Amino acid sequence: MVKNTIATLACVLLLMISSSAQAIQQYLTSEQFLAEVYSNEPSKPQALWLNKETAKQVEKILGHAPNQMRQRYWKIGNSSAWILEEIGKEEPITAGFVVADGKIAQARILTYRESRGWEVRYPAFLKQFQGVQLQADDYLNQHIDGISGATLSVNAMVRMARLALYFDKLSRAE
Amino acid sequence: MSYRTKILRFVRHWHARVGVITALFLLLLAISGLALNHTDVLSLAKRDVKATWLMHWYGLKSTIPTQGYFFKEGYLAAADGRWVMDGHLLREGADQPLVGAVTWAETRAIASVETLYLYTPQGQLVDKLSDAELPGKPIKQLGLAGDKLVLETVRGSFVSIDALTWLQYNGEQPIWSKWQTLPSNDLSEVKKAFAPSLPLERIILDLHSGRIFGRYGPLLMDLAALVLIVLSISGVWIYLRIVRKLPQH
Repeated sequence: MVKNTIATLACVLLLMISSSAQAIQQYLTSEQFLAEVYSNEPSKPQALWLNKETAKQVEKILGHAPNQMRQRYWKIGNSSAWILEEIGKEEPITAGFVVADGKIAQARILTYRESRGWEVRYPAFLKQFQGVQLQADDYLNQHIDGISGATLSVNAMVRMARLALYFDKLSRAE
Repeated sequence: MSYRTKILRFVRHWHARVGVITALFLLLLAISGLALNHTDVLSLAKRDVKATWLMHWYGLKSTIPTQGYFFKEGYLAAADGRWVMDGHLLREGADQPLVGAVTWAETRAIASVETLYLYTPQGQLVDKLSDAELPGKPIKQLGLAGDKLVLETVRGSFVSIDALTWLQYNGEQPIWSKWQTLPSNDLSEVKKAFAPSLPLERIILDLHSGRIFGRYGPLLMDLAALVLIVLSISGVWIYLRIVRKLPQH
């Protein structure tokens, strides 16, 4: 009886440890993401600086002040790659976006740190971003279906997608 | 006076007195519970409480650094994961040790073992470089070679003019930033910035559970909860007795 109880407790403890260890998941490094995007043409990073006006617009998109005033990106031809971070509930999610001709060509989760909502990394969810454009009001022109239990992560991904498209628009205007 | 009336009087007498005493605990539980139910809206986790008497009550003492890195105008001090620049909190919960800080172009570059941060002199984050954005890590030193930023890593020294691209550096010895003693006139604001603090959420949680009252606090709250259970039963009992006594229409 006592042995069984100890064994059960040990299993519960192991499960707790493994679930907490799963909290931070790096699916792709930024190097791997960029290598995937620009396979044979390594691109030099470029910097997009925010000014008062653009920072205000970023704040509108994110719902909070921009995390940083300089955003690095990679550009080849008409496509640009952006690695962004945004908090879902408590921890930042790192995602990579490739924007080509003002449309999202690819969206990937690089690092997921939240304890719930990791389903946003599945291709079935990420595929929804393909071909999405920014409207004049800086919202996406297509609805992104949510995932139950991952609402905040989905919202963070939508905000980052809007930001990547907005940044791409700025970078093309420069 | 009948036996039943005597019991009713006794229960009413003590119900009222114990009720008044326990009302304080009920209020405490209700108000703290309400606040904890709306932690996000009230931003309780983000609000720091620094009241000296409360920190003293918790037995919190802070480490006051006497050394730091110097910028052209200003300084950076760090202790217990807290970075303070010119008396203002820059970062909390930094888990990597600092290796250098310099004034570079319009920014202040600050390096920890794994990350290079660029800040404006006002403390706004300009850029954060880690992993592949760095030429190598861990970073060992941060310095300047003329107007260029130099990083010494385990893979060698690297130089950059924009902190975007890095080149191997084999030039003259750069000026490495050094951990130096802070001047005494800065110490008072450093002391203030490093004063211990606790998030308001933690304090309200401790109030709710009774832990704020020390080792026996949770037992006190348990006792209050038990008394509240008894009071609710006695209250219902008194009500039923009185209702039964009322003349029926």
